Amino acid sequence: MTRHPLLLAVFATDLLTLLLLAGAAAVAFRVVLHWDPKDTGAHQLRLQAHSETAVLAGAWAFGLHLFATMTLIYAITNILPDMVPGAMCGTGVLQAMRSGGPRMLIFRLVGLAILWVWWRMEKVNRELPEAPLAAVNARLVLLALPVLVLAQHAAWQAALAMEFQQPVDCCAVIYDRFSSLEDARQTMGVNNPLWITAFSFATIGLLIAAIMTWKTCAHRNRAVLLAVLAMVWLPLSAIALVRVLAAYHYGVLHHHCPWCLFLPEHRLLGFPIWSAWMLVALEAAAALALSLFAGDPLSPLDRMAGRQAAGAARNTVLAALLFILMTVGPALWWRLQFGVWMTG
Amino acid sequence: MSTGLECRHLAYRYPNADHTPLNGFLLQKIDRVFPAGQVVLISGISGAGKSTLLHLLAGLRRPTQGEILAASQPVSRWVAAHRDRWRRRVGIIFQQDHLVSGLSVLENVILPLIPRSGEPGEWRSKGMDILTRLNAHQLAGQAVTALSGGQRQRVAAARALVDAPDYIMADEPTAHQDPGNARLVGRLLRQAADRGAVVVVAAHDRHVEEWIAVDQHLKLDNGTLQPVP
Repeated sequence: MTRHPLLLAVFATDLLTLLLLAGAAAVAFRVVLHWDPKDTGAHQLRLQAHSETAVLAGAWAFGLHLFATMTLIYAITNILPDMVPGAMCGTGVLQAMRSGGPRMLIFRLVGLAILWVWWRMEKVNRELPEAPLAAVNARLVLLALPVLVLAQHAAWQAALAMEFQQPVDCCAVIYDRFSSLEDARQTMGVNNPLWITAFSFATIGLLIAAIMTWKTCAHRNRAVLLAVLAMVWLPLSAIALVRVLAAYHYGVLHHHCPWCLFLPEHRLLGFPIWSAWMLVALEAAAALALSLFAGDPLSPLDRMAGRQAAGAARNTVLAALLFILMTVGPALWWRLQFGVWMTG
Repeated sequence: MSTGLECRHLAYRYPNADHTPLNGFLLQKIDRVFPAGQVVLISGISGAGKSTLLHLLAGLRRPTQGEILAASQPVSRWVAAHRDRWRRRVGIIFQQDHLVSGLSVLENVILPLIPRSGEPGEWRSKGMDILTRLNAHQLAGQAVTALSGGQRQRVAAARALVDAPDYIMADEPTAHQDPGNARLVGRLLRQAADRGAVVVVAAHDRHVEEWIAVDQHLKLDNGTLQPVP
């Protein structure tokens, strides 16, 4: 196991995150069991005061988790490849981490998504003096805690699994996935141009749904449509990027690696590209949750939730446009420069 | 224009105060309306809980039980950010004046105006106006550290009243005043009530009623409020 300061910083931050979230979850548990906004008894008033403190703890936990996740991804992509023999990017590092690496990332991102939705909902909650979403938000905190515990457990397993004497086959993981050129031109048996077509239609649909949700202050049906289209868009855009569009950054064909984009030789573009991709997922989920938990039509809660969901939809539009700019943009530039697409 | 403050089943207990009388409850089961446009005097012996009640009414403390409603809204139960915003409508004359020692008298007086809208010139004019009405205009440029106890208290009163708040909580506002200046403070509180504010005055000095025209006199005893005939 490495004792690199960056990883130690991530683990220390994770520990602090868990402590804060555990504190918030203890209050959240009591809120779920006993919350009664009409009661003016001592127990409820104490719970109201404690829940305000718990929100602060939750907000810090969210911020620290986001920071630790970004730091960890930087470590995986730019620090650890120098330490793992044979690793040239995050692919080799994850290979060295064995099953703990991907599990850690999945749990971390799921935890981030839950805390992101919680944070958006909490913003609505704090906009209203009576905190009407306190009980719903408490459930989200309770949901986030076990996910982050699992993420930490997987992170420890991943760290312990790393052996710096054992070399990995970084590019072999990528190139062993296809045995012929025909295989390289396909993803799950479908030709890559078809994936690009599907990605284009999904992008147009996503942008229209997001703009409609933004402009109509998150009408419930439109927010549901946005979430569904985002769920379609996310895998399509990831496939389009890794299988086709990344080639315009790498300058070579069939290097289907999502992690090389994070390297300095590719101007660290993986960070903004995958952040924008993740933001689409987070904000679409937030818009859906906000529209589902909004109160009666025309109530203050409905108005505030609508405004917050509209903001989430606007961010979805901006994130999707940023993603397109940084992935499709280089392809178009290549086409204008050389008169052909990169196919082979 | 406020529509009054209402206490519903209000109780307050200091933490770790189990061995005191009333099981640690300083205030218990207070049901009382403080109407807009009236000056309500609360008297009681030292330690009866007058200041604590004022702090509760002003939103500085959370009740242990019950609630306080302002214009029918349960402000005491609002989340902190909203309660803090509501508190901008409250003017408080503290028993200890809590003036900022690094600032001049006028700067202390205009402090509550700064988070609100307006121009520095307007703040200054409002500050000088209220100081003049309290016979303290000649002190405007002085450091607050150079003032006597009575002068400090009038500056604290000016700070509480400078923005014509809807709710005024005055804790022993005339304790350090000579009769002439006490009448000035009393007159300003009366004028505030006449324009529709809720004015609650806590005092144990029985002369207060000579200086402030009160509409209701309540006595705080054993944690409860009783009308004084």
